[in-house]
Amino acid sequence: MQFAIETQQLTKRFGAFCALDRCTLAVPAGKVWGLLGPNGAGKSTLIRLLMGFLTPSDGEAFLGGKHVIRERVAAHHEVSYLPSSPKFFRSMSGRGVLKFFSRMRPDGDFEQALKLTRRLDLDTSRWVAFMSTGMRQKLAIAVAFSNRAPILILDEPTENLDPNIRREVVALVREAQGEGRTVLFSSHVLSEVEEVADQVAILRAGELVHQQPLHDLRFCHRIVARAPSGLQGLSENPQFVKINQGPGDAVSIEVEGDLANVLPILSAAQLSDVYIEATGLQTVYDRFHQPLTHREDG
Amino acid sequence: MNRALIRKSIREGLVVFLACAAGLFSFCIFRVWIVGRFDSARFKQIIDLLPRDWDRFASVEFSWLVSYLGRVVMTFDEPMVLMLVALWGIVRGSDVVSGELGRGTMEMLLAQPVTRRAVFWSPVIVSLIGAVLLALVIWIAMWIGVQITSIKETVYPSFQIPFGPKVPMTFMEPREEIVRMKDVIDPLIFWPGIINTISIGVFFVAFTSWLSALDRYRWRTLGIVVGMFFAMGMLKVGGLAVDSLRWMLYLTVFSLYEPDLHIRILDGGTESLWSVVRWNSKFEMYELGALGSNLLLLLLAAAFLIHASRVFERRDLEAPV
Repeated sequence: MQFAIETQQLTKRFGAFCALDRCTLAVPAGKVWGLLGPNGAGKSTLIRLLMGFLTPSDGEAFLGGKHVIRERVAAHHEVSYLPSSPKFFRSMSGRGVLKFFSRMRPDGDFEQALKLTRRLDLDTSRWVAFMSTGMRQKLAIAVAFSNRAPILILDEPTENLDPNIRREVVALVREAQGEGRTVLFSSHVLSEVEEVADQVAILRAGELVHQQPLHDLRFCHRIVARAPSGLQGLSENPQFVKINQGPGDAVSIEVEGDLANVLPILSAAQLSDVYIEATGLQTVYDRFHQPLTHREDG
Repeated sequence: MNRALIRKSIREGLVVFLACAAGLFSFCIFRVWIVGRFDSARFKQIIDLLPRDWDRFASVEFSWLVSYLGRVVMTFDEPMVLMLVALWGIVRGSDVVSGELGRGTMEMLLAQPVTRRAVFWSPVIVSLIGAVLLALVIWIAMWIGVQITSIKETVYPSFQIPFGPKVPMTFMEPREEIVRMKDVIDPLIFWPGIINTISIGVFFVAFTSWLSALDRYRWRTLGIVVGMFFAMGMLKVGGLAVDSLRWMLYLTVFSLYEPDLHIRILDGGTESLWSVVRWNSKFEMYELGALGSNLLLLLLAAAFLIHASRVFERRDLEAPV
């Protein structure tokens, strides 16, 4: 099977420091992958290696089956890239930037780029030098989404954007996926990744430590309630993966799988003050990147 | 090369080019016009008062330098001319890699399906063409200066020998005559100086682009090149001033910038403009000839550019700060 994005034992060392260590990743075509990790985890290094900006110390990377170093131009035909905190040519207007990048690619589409700027509410007559960080981000989004490249690599695409435009970006990612394009989406906003990604890859200190399909995660919930009559028999059900007895009669139950199967059991358990929350990505993320305040050594 | 990149480079360099061209154009016309304000004969009297040691600073004999042609040609040696030609090369060359990297715009460029070679050579080609055009601006300005300037000449009455030359009668009272400078100077004679100016301009574009390809901060590239510009200037002055320090002349490219000498050669010198080396009476090579100087400048430029291109194609591009 040929993957849209593929890395094999990809490693990047800067002197003694290993920024990315033997990362093996395979993103199937048409999927949206979230790339998660705190600052310094290696996300940007992985993306810069995929874009051919850095030469790997070891291993290989492919975009659309093209080697990112040996077939750099062919690989770049396959990909559209949105950098983190994008910068543009200060002597150009927004419109000039869009025209420039549409001319740089055979699949560039200036009209589509203009359409996107209208959707993102961006004034393209303004000079880049006089644009705010958020406006430059919108301009970069319009550049990245305006061509027909089958792969999109987005490094923190919603950074510096207001909530309305963030929603538009998430919608654009969904639309890209609907058109069969592959998206690698790096972000610190877990809720956004959770909303659009099919799978996430979590990086920690340069290592790819976990890959999680999000479809499964959508069936993970936490039930918080009061159980004055106790929780007899619940622990025998395999869907109840974790039961925590709190102070007094408070309980917290982590459930995996379809809630429809467990609701009758919970009803029979005579719980009160019940509320159910999706445990989601944050729980998985915290397994590898627990906040400092929660760490024993913290 | 890439058409969109070429257009972008032209747009980015246009203001600097126009500023340099306007400065060179107005200065060169003014400089030629100034020459017309002083009678060469009187000028020679001033030069005669200078100590003989001053000869060492000139690559051509003083008697030629004080002629109208020599003084017009000295326009090429004006610091303003050399600095504006170098300024273009330094400002545009430093932008090629470290400028784009420092501003953070290189990422978006390299993410496009173009070769790194095209990203490097497109602005370099524009800068090289700019260096050639600036030299042509100097030529045009000097040509216009020569056309519009009149000069006062002190002439003695003369008599014509039948079938022979006119013989001045220096025992008679001289008179001042106003003549057009274009009757005395043919601006086409400046072409060896223009070629030499193009060569030094190309060198500065190439040298700065090379440093830019190795660096990631434009301010550092600019600092190094400007520092070297003045250091090489001092090396030339030191090498010319003190015999024991003549070796310094081999360390500065300004030794290869001698437009006045090249024009002097065309104006009846004993050597050929096409000589690679200059020979002394014992036929020991002692300096580069006109062709040799230009060739060396262009070869150095080519070497710097080829190496810069190779470095840029292979180097890691760090994330913008």
